[in-house]
This record gives sequence, C-alpha cells and structure tokens, in this order.
Amino acid sequence: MSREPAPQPDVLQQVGAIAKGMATVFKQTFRKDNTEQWPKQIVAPPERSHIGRHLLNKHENGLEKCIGCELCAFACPADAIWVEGADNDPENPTSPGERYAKDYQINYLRCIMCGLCVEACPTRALTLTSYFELSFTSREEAIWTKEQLLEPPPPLGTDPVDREG
Amino acid sequence: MSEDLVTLTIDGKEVTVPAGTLIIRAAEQLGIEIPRFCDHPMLDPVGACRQCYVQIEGQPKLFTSCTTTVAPAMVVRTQNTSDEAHTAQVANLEFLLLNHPLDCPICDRGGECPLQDQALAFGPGESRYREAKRVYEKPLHLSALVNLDRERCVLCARCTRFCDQISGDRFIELYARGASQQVAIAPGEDFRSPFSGNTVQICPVGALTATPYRFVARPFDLSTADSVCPHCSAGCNLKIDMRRGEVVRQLARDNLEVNDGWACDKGRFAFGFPDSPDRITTPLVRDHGLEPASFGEVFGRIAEWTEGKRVAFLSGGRLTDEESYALSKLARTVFATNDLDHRRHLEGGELELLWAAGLTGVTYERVERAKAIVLVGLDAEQEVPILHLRIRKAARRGAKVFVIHHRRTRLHDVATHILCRPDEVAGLLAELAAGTSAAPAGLAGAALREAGNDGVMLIGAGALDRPGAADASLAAASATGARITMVSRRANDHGALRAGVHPGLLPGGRPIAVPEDRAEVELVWGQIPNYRPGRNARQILEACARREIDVLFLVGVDPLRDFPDAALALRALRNVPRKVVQSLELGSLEPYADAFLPAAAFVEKDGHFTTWEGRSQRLKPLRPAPGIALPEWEIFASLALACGSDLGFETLEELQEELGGLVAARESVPDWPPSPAPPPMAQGLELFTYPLLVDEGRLSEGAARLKAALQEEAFVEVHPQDAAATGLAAGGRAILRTEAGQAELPVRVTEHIARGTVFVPFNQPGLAANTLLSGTFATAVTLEPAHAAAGPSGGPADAQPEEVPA
Amino acid sequence: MAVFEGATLAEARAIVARYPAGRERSSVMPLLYLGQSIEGRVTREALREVAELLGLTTAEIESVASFYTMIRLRPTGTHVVTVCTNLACALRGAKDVYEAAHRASDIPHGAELSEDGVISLHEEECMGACERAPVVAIDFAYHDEISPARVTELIQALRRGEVPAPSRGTAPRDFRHASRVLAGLEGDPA
Repeated sequence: MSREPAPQPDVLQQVGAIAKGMATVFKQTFRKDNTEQWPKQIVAPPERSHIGRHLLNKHENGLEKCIGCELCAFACPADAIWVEGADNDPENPTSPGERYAKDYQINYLRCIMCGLCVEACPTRALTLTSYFELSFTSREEAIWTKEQLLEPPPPLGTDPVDREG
Repeated sequence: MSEDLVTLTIDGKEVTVPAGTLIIRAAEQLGIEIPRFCDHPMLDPVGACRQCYVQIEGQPKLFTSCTTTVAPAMVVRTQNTSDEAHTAQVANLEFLLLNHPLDCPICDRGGECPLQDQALAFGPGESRYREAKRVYEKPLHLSALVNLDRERCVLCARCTRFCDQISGDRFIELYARGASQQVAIAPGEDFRSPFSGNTVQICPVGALTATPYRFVARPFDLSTADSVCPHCSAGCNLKIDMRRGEVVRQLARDNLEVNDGWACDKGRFAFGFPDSPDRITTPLVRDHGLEPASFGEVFGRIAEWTEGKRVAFLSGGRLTDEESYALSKLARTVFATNDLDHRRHLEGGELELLWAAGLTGVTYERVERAKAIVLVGLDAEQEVPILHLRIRKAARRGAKVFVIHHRRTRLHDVATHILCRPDEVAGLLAELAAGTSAAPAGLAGAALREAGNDGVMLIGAGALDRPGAADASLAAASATGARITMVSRRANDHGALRAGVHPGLLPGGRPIAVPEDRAEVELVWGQIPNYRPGRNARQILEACARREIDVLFLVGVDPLRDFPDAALALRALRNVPRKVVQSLELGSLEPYADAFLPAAAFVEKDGHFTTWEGRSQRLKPLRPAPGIALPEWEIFASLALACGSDLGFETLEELQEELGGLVAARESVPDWPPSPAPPPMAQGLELFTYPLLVDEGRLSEGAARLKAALQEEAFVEVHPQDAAATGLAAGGRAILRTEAGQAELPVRVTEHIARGTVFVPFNQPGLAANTLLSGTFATAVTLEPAHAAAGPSGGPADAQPEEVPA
Repeated sequence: MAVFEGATLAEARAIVARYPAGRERSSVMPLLYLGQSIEGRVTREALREVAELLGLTTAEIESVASFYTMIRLRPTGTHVVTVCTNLACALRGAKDVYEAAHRASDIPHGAELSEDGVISLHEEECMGACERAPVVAIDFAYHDEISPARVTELIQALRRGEVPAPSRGTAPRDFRHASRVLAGLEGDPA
C-alpha cells in the first residue's frame, strides 16, 4: 500500500515551533518550586483533607462511638479491618448500647485509604485523619491496634506514636 | 384424602394444587414471593403479622394468603398485580417498623434478617412516624441460651407456636394485648426446653438471639458448610458456620426426611469440642512419659507390640461408617481377632441382627405416619431428641403412643406410660403381644394390631439390658404385625454395627459363624483367619482384667467413663500390658495410654454417619485437621501397612466402593438362636440409669452455656412409697449402695417412676453412675437416708410426691 | 398449695370437673376468678397453682390472665371502679366522669389504687352499654348515665362502706364477692 507523501513544512515554521517549545521549558525552569521538602518542611494539608490514618472517635462523655458492628470490615474492599464484638458491661460500659468492639485492628499494608469504611460507619466512630506519616519496619507493626487507633494523631512532623505501648 | 386437585389463578398464571393448600404455598409453586413473617411451613397458620395480604377477586376485603386455602377457579392477585395488596403490604411494613429499634448494626440478625430483607424489598423506604419509639428493658435472659429483645419483636408468634405445637415445652407465651402485647416467660422460670434454640432460628427478626453466638460474628464473616450432627443417632442435618476456621454457630438445615427443620440444643450449641484446649494433635508414645512421636514411629512400636500377640478393639459411636469398616477389616484380617465391639449394652439377639442387616425399615416418615407407636426402654427426648419431635408430630396427627419404661418421659402429655420394673419388661411385652387384656399393655397391643403395617415399635438400647426384652419385643412385633427397630443413642452406633464392629457380625450383619455369609465377605476380603465369634465389650474387659489380652485398642471410647462397670474397666486397663488410644484427646486415659494416635474430628473428615433408621448421611471435611491428626480410616490403613499387611484401599473412594457392596440392605438374615434365659433379678429395689441429653460426655465439653441452661446435677429419683419405706425425704440426701459401689445423692420423690425402681442419671456432674454398675445399666440397690445432711424433720411424712396425680 | 387449700381446693377441683375430660383447660377463667375471690387479685402463687391444677405451664395461665382486664394481677382495692372511655361514653363526657372519680377516690397521680386501699380505678374499653353512656361499673355492676357529680357520690358511698345499688340487678358486696360469682359459685366461701 502506498501513501501520499506528507507535504514538506516550511523551514521558518519549524524554527518557530522549536522556539515556542523552548520558551515553555525556560518559563518552567525559573518558576517558583512547588515541591514540599518533607520531612524538613511540614506543610499543613488542606483542611478536611482525609488522606491519612484512621481515628476511632469518642463521645464527649468518654464512651467510644464504635459499637463493634463490623460494617467497616464488611465495606472494606481490601479486607484490612478486623473487628470482634462483645457485650458491654452494663455497670461499666465501653460504648453506648449493648455491643462494643472488643478488638479493632486495621492492617495498613492492606488499607488503600478509600474511605468506604468511613462511609459505612453508622455512628461516625471511624474517620480518616490527615496524618499520613505511616512507616513500619515489620508486618506486625503495620497492624494498628484499637488502642493506637483511639489515640488522636500527633501533629505532622513529630515522631510517630510509640506503637509498642 | 387431599387427592382432589384445585386449579386457581394467581397473578394471571394458572396453578393446580391439592385442595387445602394455602394460597401462599400455591404462589410459591409459581415462584411468586409474597412477603411474610408469621408463616412457617411447619407451624399451623395464624395470620398474626398481616404481611401477606392478597386480593381475591369477588371479595370485598384483602385476605392473608397464609391462612386462606385455595378454592376452585379462585383468582388471586398479589402485590405484583394488585395496587390494593401492594399498598396494604407497604402500610403494614411501615406499621411493623413503628416501634422497631434501629439496632440493625449491632443486632445478631442484621444481614440475614427477614425483616430487613423484606423491608428493603417490599417496604415503604421511609417511615412517617416521628414520635419516640416504645422502649423495653433488654435483653431479657429467657435462659442461659436464649435472649429476648421485645423491642424488635413483630409478634408473629412463631416462637410460641413452636413451643406449643412442636416441642410442647410451653414456657414462653404472648402476654397482655394491644400495644403492650409481648412475648414473655413466667417470672422466676427458665426456658428449660432442649429445643429452645429452634425458636431463635425461626424468629424472623432479632428478637430471640442465642447467647453463644451473641456478638460473635456477622453473616458476612462466616463461611458456611453443610454437615450432620455428631451427637446422636437422629442424624440432624446442620449448617455449620465458621469464622476463620473456628466453628461459631450451628443451625438446623431443612430436611423433611430427617429433622424437618429442627435441631436440639445439644446439636446446636455443643460445637466447641473440636477446638477444645485438651485436644492432642500429634501421636504420642510412652517411653519415660508420653512423648510426641511421628506416626511412623508409633506404628512401628504398635507392630512390635502386636506381633503374634492377643489383640482386642473397643470403639465408640463416633467413627464414620468408613472408619468402622476399616476397623472391622483391620481387626479381622490383620490381627486375626474377632474381639472387637462398639456396644455398651448386652446382646441384642435377632433384633440386633435385623438392625445390622438394614432390614428393619422404620424411618422418620414411618413414625410420622404411624397409627400406633410403642417405645420400649427409650426416653426419646433425652436420647434421640428429634425422634421425640417426630413422635409428637405423629401424636398430633392422631397416633396412639405408648411408652414402656421405668420412668415417665417427656412424651407424657401425648402418650400412655406403662411404668414397670426392669425385670417386668419382657412380661409386659408378652402381654402386649397377646393384646387381649384391658391393661395398658394389652391396649397397646390392640392398638398395634389395629394399626397393622402402620404400627411401629421403637426399642431403646436400654431395653436390651433388660432380661429377655429384645426377644420378647421381636415376638410382640411379629404377633401384632408392627414394624420394629432398635434405636441407639450414639451418633453412629448403627453404622458401626452395620460395618461389623461386633464380635459376631461381619459387615452387613453377616454372622461370622455362618459359612455362607462369611463366604460373601471373604470374596472381598480374602480368607478370614479366625472363624470363632469373639468377645463382646464386657468379655473383652474381663479378659483384659484376667491378663488374657496383650494389646487393647481404645478407638474413640473411654471405658472408664462409658462402660457400665467402672471398676472392671479400671482393672482391665491396669492389667492389659499395652493400651493404644485413638481419639481427639486422652482425658482420663492419660495415665494408662502407651500410645496415642490423634484423630480428625467430624468437621475435619469425609465419610458418612448412619442414623438409627439406617440412612447414611455424608459428612464433609470443612477444614483441615489441626496438627498432624488424621481421619481414622487412614490411621487403620497405615497401621495395616506397618504390620506388613494391607487393607486393600488407598483412597476413601476405594474404601466406599468395597463397603457399599457389603452393607447394602440384604434380602434376609440367617436364623439366630434365642438369647439364653437371663438370671432372675432380685426382688429388692432396682437401680436403672441412662444418659441424659446434656451430660458430662466428652462431646459437650466447652459448651458452658448449654450446660448452664439444661444440665442437672446428679440426683436419685424414687417412688413415694419406696421413699417412705426407706425413710427418704424429697430434698434430702440418700446413700445408695450397690454391689459395685456407693454414692450419696440428693433425693427426688415422684410418682412418675415405677415402684421398686430407682433412677440415677448416667453421667451428670456429681456422679459417674458406672461406678455403681456391674456390667449392665440396671442393678440391685439399697437406699438409706444420709444423716449428715438430713432434711428438716425427716421421716416418711415429708415424702410428698412432686406432683399430684391426675 | 397456698391459695387453693382445703375447701377452696375442693371447689377448684369441682370447677375443673365441670368440663369434659381432656378439656380441663377450659376451666382456667373460673379458676382465676376463684383465686381472685380469695386474694382480691390473682397473685403469682395463684397463677402457679392454677397451672398445676390443669397440668399447664405458668406462662400459659399468665398469658390468659394478662389478656383480660377483669383479672387483676396488680394490687387491687376492695372495690374496682371502671369507667368506660370508649367512643360513645367519651362523646358523652366519660373523661370528665373519670377525672371526677379519680379526685373522689384520692388516688395519687399516675396510680390506680386509692391510698386507703378501698378503690381501684381504671379506664375500660367498651362495656356494651352504649345506649346508656357514660357507663361506670362498680365490681362489674353497671351504673348508667353517670355524671361527674353522680360518680363522686358513688365513690363517697363506697368509701363510707356502703354498696350503692346498680342500675340493674344486684350489687356484689365487693370485688372478691363479684369474682366469686363470676367463678360460678354460689354462697360464701367455706
């Protein structure tokens, strides 16, 4: 199959195109840098950005909002959440109502930060924070326990919470 | 009678059903789903929830389709074609949800809830109700097993109807009326029914929940598999729910031929034993102490011990058909012994032979359709609970039920009880066979004769202990034309017998002493080295005690706890040089075992359990066995190889093929000599015992809630006149003395026990009754009051009967 | 048995015997009335004993007893005054009659038993005498076309120990007597 040869472009036109391209390059080269120098430089993420770890919230009276219903685990597409429910002690309840979460774990090696768990939560117990400074040195460490998840995140840039305690 | 067919139209489609069918059932046949809550196919219609409204042409008002029977040329329009029905259903759902709490996230039913599902499918989407919802205290504990949440209840009366119509244990009822109507139990009472878990399963909302499953899992956590209950020979079909490999719930699976849709509480809640902390999952062998070893090592040692030695096998009722068959073949072809037995009772004579050969032909369906039923020595509720429900169902259909026993059973509201002493059973059966006397036994005989082919005799394993009872019952059956069968308690007693774990019977109920029968087996097995019938369980233990056995295999059985002579079992274990235990755990055999072979539990193995009827039902492996535990047939096959022999099958399929040919029901059985006349019993008080449903048995280990709800401490039950004669008082304590031992137990005085007999449960906390027995489940006993804890003023005057005779 | 004892037990057995064999449970209502005639209400003990007499469970008996307002399970006064507040009576001022009765009986707010233990007062659904509304029943005996003033008089009479004559028939002496009559028994308890 033969094709008609493309018409040769004008030389001047070609030079003009190169100049236009190079102008863009130089303009970008001297523009102010947008990169954040984390961790030397901490820039607060935009308000209401939910890009980081989860937080298990509490009511004002100190009771946990989580009722251990496992809907977050059901919603999770990555199977990152493990919940075990138990009966509240009526004398000394952990959460309002009959049921509370005896165990609550999130595996951050699995979590994809999609936030479906937050949408599924019927009591707004589970929210995402903007704390994204997650680092682990072992698989065990990547599984956050209920105690860790109940702890509000520290300001960005400070050391990660002591996960042993 | 319901042969008349009726043709009607539902949503424009014609359907023909038997007259008397409910519209809702007819619609089901067309695949039309009408929402419902109170309707349950096994309960009488009640029309309580009003959800299933349909329109019937020519009728001014809507009808509830679950209470209306079909009529010829009826034109029914459901919510699919009738706006009126649709509007009514939506309104009714909104109404049912008025006071329903928004508990779904924490409700155990959430995710598998008919109310949730139908509210989504047929409901209004939003409620117009803005006022405060009704609040009750919750949950109420009806028993240690069942919790009630009245806020969630939609008053469908399924639970109360189950208790009324099916189990007869009417502990819960609908109280009050109008807006305050609620399910309730009499204050201070417990929902003490062995069928209470069924109300939880049929509750269409989360109003009744089970404590063992409370907040344990959500439906989406569970992997579910079908299985069969390992607890008794009823063979209930179960659904087993596991979360991460751990069994967390068992539910009854519908099978109209076996358990309808029910299960007893033991089958439902005693599921913890495969996960017991005592479970041993590696082989052990005794050098200095019991030490872990490989299977190969243990097999090698066993081969050394058994070479040229006298070997005997005892097994329990929990091997599958295949495993029992492998055991039978192993014992007879590899170890050349016929000393093997799975039974605890005495010889069952020809009746047992018929049962082994699969020739009894009594099924649940036969029981349900029977016109007359006679139970002999069987406490169906405690021993085979689902059979008990079938008998009740038959009674509701008009069957005449008679119970020949030493003690009143829970069939008392539907059956005539003929209470007798253990030595009187044979005499009563003769009277029954004659069927002429006006006494209850005669009436039972007459009823059986009248029923003919629709008469059923159910002989409990307990009766086989009673002198001459087995032969007499068979004679009575042939005299009256009734069908007869044995009913044994343990899950696969019948399978073990049919597979030939019996000193005198080869697979398929073929007597080893009969050359033609033996030849049929030898065609498959090759030459059987030893033709002489072996020793039964009792004789094996006696031989062990006399040091006539060198190696004793205990396969899923603990004679110290199971055999009705604890002292003999102990002597046997002390005197036999080598003991090989094959089980899930060692338990009380720990000091005696020389080798231990870890077996797979019922959730971990493939095979079949045979019900009392003779129906083989498949078990499927639902999870891998822990550690290196193996299915027992594999252990037997490998052991045969280690002993330089071969059982001839390497896969379960090969085994099943071999087994299937041998245990298929046969045309006839050879003649069987009548049992020898038993020694006469002493004239004094006679103690008898059988296990209650929830006892200290190994398979109930770990079922703490079940035991809290239903288990009783050991007690002794005596007749008021015997109590007066021996100076016992209700609520006091008695000292029992038998030839084998003595015990002190709290006394219950009741008219509902035969005079001259004394009942002690076999294995309740406080007493292992086999310490009182000498080989059978009945024995002579003397009673006297225990003075240390004498009652208030003591004496016969206080011996009030528990209940007033009707 | 604590409630059905001696002569009463014999009466209870006689009541059970009124019904055909196998249908003994039909006697549950008269037995409850009999228990009520002894204790002025049906106690838990009486429920248990009726259950025992009939071979039923306590729950079955209590289910029936809690259904009917004529069976009183809570502490009850010497006389039981019921004011019909169903449609016909309500239209003719039954609510005012009820209020007046409440005041006249000296019943604390929210309670239904007067402090002196003479009067139990409660609202009742239709008693079937709509043409003579508003209707008040004192120990099941009807008083027709009652005004607030008239109900006050009636209750004052009760509190003086008198038994006002009903509009029809004769008045039972008190609630226990009425229950005994409803149990189908003549005369006074032995």
